[in-house]
Amino acid sequence: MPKLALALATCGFILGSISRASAASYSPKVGERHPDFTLPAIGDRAPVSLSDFRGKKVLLIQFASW
Amino acid sequence: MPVWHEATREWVKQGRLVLLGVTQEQHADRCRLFAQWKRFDWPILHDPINLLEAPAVPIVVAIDEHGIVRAIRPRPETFKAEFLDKTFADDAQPGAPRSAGPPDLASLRRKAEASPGAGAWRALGDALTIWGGPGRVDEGIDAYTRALALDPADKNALFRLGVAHRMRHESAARRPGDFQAAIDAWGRALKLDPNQYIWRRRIEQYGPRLTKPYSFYDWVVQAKAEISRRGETPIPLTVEPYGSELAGPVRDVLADTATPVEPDPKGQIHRDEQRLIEAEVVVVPSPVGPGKAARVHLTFRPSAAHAGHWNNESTPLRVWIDGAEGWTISTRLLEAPQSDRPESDEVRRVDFEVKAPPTAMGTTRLAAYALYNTCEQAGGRCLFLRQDLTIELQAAK
Repeated sequence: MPKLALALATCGFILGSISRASAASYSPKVGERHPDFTLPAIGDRAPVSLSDFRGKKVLLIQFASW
Repeated sequence: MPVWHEATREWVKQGRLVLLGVTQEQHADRCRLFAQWKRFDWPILHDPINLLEAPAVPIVVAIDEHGIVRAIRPRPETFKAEFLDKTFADDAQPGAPRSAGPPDLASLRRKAEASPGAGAWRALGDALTIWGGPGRVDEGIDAYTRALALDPADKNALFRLGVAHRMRHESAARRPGDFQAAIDAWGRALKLDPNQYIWRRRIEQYGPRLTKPYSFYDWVVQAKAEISRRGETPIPLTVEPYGSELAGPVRDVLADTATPVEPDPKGQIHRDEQRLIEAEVVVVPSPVGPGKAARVHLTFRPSAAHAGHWNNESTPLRVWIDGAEGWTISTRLLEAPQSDRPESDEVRRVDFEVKAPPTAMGTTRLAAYALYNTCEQAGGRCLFLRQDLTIELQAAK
């Protein structure tokens, strides 16, 4: 299990559909829209986008099981 | 994440909140097992290449109903009052357009072929690696290679090239050298961005115990046992964690105190001339610094071309490693567990650690050999064979 504290420094940020080649840096900012993205679900590999949940409050958690 | 799972469970059930996970894992099924163990019932997405460019995990972001970020690393104790119970106005500037969903691979390829830039090739590599499945991993590797030819300092393309090589290594399309290529690409990426926590962890997963922060997958055994006790069937893993992925950290590489008996000191066992068993050697990291440690992975795979398979009715696969002057070898004789079935054709892996002498530079070769019982084909002639191996250790500052 991860034991190190989160190190959220200034960092590269790329979001949006992976069909776009543009790369910004990952630094979500309070008060700004979170860039959209689409990734496969771990089970059935079905595509899921952040924007699928528009209209609902979302807690986005990036993690690893190591 | 269990903290947030517990803290938000009722709100999720009431439809007031969506928990959306993104896992930074090479293997989606390991995350599925973890989620099953912890009873995570919310959607989790797979980002094996770190497409989102997370610099570290965990990252928790609270996003309101308009898609606007309201908190980064919110605190569970104030989450309800400061986020969930609040009504937010749609007061942010318009952002980038919504994602168009999974990319059109053919269109991305056309763009890459028409574009002089590395970005288009990397985007194609990303799309192929995430969405193309094992059948298109060759194309993903090719796309990243093209991106890197145009921009050798594209650290993300380097990391992702490593992920694609590791994916191919674990697929039926594997090629010799894929695992080492993954390690080398990750190492080069980390050199360009030494603060990238996720890339560092990916190397440490396969690296020596001396540089491990913790055991990466020691929870797997416990998770499977607890899931089974609940009367459920644990999610099967395509690639079971082994060796370095389970090993905990140590303060130094220590050699076995007792030197084991060499099993074939005179080299009398017949060699596996047909290569019924294919062997691969990977050193993590490579090169290793003077006085530093590395983990050596040995993979043995029955040859599909020769229909080779293990004969499990005799002694298991053993590997003997010769010493090299000045190098510490953690163990000289290794043994791989074997199947309960009389015959099997699974991949077998063993790993051990070496520590370079303080003055090490250049190439050192460790002689080693494997002894195994194998059969030419199911029901065919079974033999006890030896395969000589050379383990090349590169040392550099």
